[in-house]
Amino acid sequence: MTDKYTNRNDSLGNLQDGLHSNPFAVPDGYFEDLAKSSLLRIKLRQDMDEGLTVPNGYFDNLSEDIQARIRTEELKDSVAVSGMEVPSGYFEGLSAKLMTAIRDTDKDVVLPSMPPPVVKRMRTRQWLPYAAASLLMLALGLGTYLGVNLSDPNTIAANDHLQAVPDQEIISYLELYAEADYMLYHATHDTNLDEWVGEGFSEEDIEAYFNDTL
Amino acid sequence: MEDAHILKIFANEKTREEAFAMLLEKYQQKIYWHIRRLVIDHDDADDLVQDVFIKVWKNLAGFREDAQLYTWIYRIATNESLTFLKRKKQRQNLSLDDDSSSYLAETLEDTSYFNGNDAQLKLQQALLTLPEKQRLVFNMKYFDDMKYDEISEVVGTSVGALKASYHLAVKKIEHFFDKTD
Repeated sequence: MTDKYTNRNDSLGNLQDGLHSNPFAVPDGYFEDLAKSSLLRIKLRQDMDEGLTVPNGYFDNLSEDIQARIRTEELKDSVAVSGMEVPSGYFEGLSAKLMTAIRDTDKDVVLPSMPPPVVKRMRTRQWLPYAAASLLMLALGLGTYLGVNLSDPNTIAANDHLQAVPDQEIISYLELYAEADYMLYHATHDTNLDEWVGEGFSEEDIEAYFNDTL
Repeated sequence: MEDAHILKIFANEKTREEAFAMLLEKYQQKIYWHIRRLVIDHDDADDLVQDVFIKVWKNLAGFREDAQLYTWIYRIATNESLTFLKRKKQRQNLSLDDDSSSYLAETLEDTSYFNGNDAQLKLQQALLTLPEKQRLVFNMKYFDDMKYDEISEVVGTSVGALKASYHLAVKKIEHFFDKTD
């Protein structure tokens, strides 16, 4: 008699029938869900691979970053701190000292005034021809400008754009350049720079000042 | 105390000093050490830390929160320190083209507020052979454990350039240690 599973001649199978059966079991519904759960895992893996990115050039520098980190850790094993010290009680008193300095500065600060502009005096008769010539040039220039530009669509568009800019913004822009000249004057004339950086200067102003004086 | 909270209290004129006292408590040591590691001498650092916080006081009202407060303060401290060192070089008639800090070696030897062991002294000596800005970057990374992004905000240099600078600094220091062993 041939075994129905193996076509094997039963003459070899003196084993009991029960030993032909599969002794292993699976959870209920396992095979029904297997296809669905396999597909879901595949999709999740794909999603994870596509979602994760690294900064440009990351792997190019990674090796050197790791080596530098290792060297740093080795150095820190022998030198973790600088060895520098401060006088006893220094930090305990520092806040009070700084607040006192700030209060003193608030009382004493006086922004240095700009030097008076140098005005070259001219004799009365000598300036009249120059004034007349200037007025004539101004009139001619203005007429030309108005004639050319007012008809130019680009100028009209630019003027319209300028109209859209708030007056305060224009004033701030002009003030910034006036202050830049003020700052440049002091940077080049080596006055006491500690006192003129006061209120009204933005972070960019301060940074520009520092870059100028470095 | 969160920086945003300090700034909020500072915005009120009546509580301005109280807010500034909180800011000082929070940052004075960090800023002091940042300056001190650059200028070496305690008295110079003491003067500079006062100058820095006076500038912070005067300009904090206008601080725009597009950067972190402490990187802003660090930037002021950095620039004040570098300006100080530049003037020190000028007073000593040293060339401004030589951007190493070797002229500070004497300050390191003379300062009474250094109590480090041989290794610590050697590290400071090694650091003084570096260009100033490289030394600055090294200090912020090694001693202050700042992230490259934060250092970039302070010095205005790209993260890539900072990493390269730091890696090179570490190699130079290793070489210094090997050479002087």
